Amino acid sequence: MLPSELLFSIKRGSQVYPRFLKREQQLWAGQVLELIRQHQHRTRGELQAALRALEGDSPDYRIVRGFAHLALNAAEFTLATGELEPETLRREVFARAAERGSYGETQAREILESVAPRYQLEAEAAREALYADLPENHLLTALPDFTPDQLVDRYNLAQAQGVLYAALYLRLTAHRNVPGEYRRLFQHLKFHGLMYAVEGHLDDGYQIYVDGPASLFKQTRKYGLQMAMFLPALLRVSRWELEAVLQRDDQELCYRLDSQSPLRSLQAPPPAYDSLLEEKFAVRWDKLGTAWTLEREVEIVDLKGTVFVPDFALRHADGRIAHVEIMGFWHPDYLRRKLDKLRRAAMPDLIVAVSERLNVGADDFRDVPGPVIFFKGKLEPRQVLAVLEP
Amino acid sequence: MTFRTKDTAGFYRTGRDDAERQLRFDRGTLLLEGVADLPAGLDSWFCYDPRVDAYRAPANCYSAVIGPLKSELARNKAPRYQLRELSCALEMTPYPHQREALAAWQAAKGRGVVVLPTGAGKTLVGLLALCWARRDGLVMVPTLDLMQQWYALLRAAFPDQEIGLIGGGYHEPQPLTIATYDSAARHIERLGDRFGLLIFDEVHHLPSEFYRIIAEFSLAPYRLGLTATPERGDGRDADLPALVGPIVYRKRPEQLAGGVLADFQVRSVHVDLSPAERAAYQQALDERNGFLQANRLSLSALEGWNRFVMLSARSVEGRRAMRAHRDARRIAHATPGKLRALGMVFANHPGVKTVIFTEDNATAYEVSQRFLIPCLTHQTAIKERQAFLDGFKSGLYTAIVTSNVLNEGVDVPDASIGVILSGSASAREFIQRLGRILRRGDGKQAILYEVIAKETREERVADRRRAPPEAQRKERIDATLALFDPSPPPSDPEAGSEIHNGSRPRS
Repeated sequence: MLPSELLFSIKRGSQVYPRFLKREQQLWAGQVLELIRQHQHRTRGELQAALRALEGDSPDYRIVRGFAHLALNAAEFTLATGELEPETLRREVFARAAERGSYGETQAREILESVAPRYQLEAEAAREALYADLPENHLLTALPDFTPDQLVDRYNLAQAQGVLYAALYLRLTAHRNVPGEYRRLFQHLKFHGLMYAVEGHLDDGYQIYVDGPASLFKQTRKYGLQMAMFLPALLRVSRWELEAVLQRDDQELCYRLDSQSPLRSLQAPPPAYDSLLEEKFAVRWDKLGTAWTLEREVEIVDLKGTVFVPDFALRHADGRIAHVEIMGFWHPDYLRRKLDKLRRAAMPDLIVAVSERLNVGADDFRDVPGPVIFFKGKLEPRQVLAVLEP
Repeated sequence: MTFRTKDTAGFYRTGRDDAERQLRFDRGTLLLEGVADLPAGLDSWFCYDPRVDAYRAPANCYSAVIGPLKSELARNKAPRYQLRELSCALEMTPYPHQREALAAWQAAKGRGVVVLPTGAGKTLVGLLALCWARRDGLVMVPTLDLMQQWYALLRAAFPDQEIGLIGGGYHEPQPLTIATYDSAARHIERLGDRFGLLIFDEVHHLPSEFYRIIAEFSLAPYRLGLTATPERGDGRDADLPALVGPIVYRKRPEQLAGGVLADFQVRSVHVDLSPAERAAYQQALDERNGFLQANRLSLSALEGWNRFVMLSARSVEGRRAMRAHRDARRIAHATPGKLRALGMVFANHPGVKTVIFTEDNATAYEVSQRFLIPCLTHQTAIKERQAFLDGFKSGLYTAIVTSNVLNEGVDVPDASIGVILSGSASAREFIQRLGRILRRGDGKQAILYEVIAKETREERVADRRRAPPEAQRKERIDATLALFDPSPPPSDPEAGSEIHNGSRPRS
């Protein structure tokens, strides 16, 4: 992410657009990376001076600084003093100077001349070494490991995130995504301290309204930064539309983005299935040859503060729909919360398939309205079909 | 089993029926759960929150709602702070103004702002408030130096208590904790239920957009603000009553002078630029002014400055003009002539404890390297900073140079010479810098040197500072000037400036 002074956006009517880079502006990315590469083992101060010189009088200077900011976030700087600790040197010469009883430039030079030889330094070099530990005197040791194109991707993402700093709330529309994507989406919302309300259903898609706890009392931009941090997680979901309502200069503006956007998430896409158990079940169901189709677009149940997202939906050609939740191997604490969710979701069309390796019995599912089946090892599709078509 | 089809609406039941009536803290808000209808009289605070099917209120209003709500609750899980008997190990007799300030704050039910001039012992008022409130307490400070100072004080006052720090590389919340405004604002969603008393040192920082949530997201019933200058340029000090409480006690410097504060005098030292520096300075100014004139800009108003910043990003000429502006500033601030003047001050007061203030880090480091004087900036690590301050107190070092970090409320005991090597036009900054060497001493007279380069923009800044345009600023400056002269503050601003024409050091 970038500090606000390095952000660009354009306002047209009530719409805001982050200004992505023009082709000729993207060239700066390569130049910045090359300049950083040339400064390996040199000081941060020198690198910064060189970056200032690179930007020169160009009106693109904020683009150059933006690239440098993102690239240097991924670089490493280290202290370059060898045997000599600047703090020790400071303590020594400051104490000596104080002992003289009066301060002056001449006295200071004499002290440095007497101390420096012990560190194999000239007096003036010792003067410089006094503050070798300041950030601008650190050495660049590890370079950012991305290509100019990847830096451009990061830059454009950071500009889009920057627009959200001023967000009051987000309205997300999501449809036809697999359960794991939804679960991760809600996990990330929660992780970033955001709150949500979910509306809609399976066939028309879901509206997810996102803001924070204190948004209830008055619209606030307090959660804009958290929403910006959440954006990369949204990019890993397959199909969505985002409408962010922003407040700028006492005006309400809007920023729209959807899954067609060229913005790219920086991490690799997550696996298609949350577990091998689910994946195997899906593969074997397809071989079963039944009128029930296994789908990964499922019902989301808003449990007020959390959501329940079952693993699969089963849709019959005649319009009937059922859901499947597979409970494989889980930590006892997770299991307890999952049981609580199943009770509160109270889905009558949900088939819960429970591994016998879990320490639960039929009693634990008394308040769960749908059918419960137990399985050994792997879940046989026939077991589920038997419940659907007795 | 039953199946849902496309047309079945409202098929799934949601919501919980398990809850008992309870109040809890949720990320800066209060959540009232298990209540079907809101008890009467609470609807000005609580709203129904459909996202979690409960009633929610800002944490800020805890002390207002808990009275009427208490009998309705099966459980109150909101406050996590404890009642704590704090006995102070320090033997201190408060000054009358400190006792009065505490009494006024107590009379306001432990919510309010105390305004005392720098050097009048605001910190002790805070300590007395902690002992009185007997609740876990969180102290907010704007700088790491102030954090250090509160830390030393609380450790001395409560030797049996762990004192927590949040900020400056620490995150250790304890029943008694000191936090920077920055870190407190970042973590208050998780900390707002842990303290019964909030103390805001230099409370004029609080009403900013980023810091105010510290007050809004906390449920602490007791709140104390401390400052010498509650007024803010943007007028947001009007929010202080809602965030902390009203001003419950106020004393001006002239009402305390003599009793608490030491007398001091100001001496201006004018230094010349060298011919080469003057030429470079003039060239930079000419370049900038050419651009300003061509674009019909004037820097006398903020609007003009903002336009200049915007235009400077749009063209090659603009960027050059901005760089020229910065060059001119740097020449005016960092002139070797100032270092020569500083050498003169040292020669005039050998062995006398001296604090040197600079506006920027670069100048502070340059002074440090030139004279081998310990240097404090915001970059200095906490331990080294403490070692330098301890060394200065004990007399190991007799001089210390610092950029802005000492601006607010840090004790520099016994410093009787101050040197300002560069300054800005803020009246508040001026007063507080002066205050640094106003600490009560043994009847000694302190001297503040202000080293100014001749005929530079900066000098005009210093002039403006002495005759501020707004009445409010004038009032504050007059109050400060009154310290130099026992006669009542002059009504004519021109008369006030005479006092500054103090004697120059021998050259």
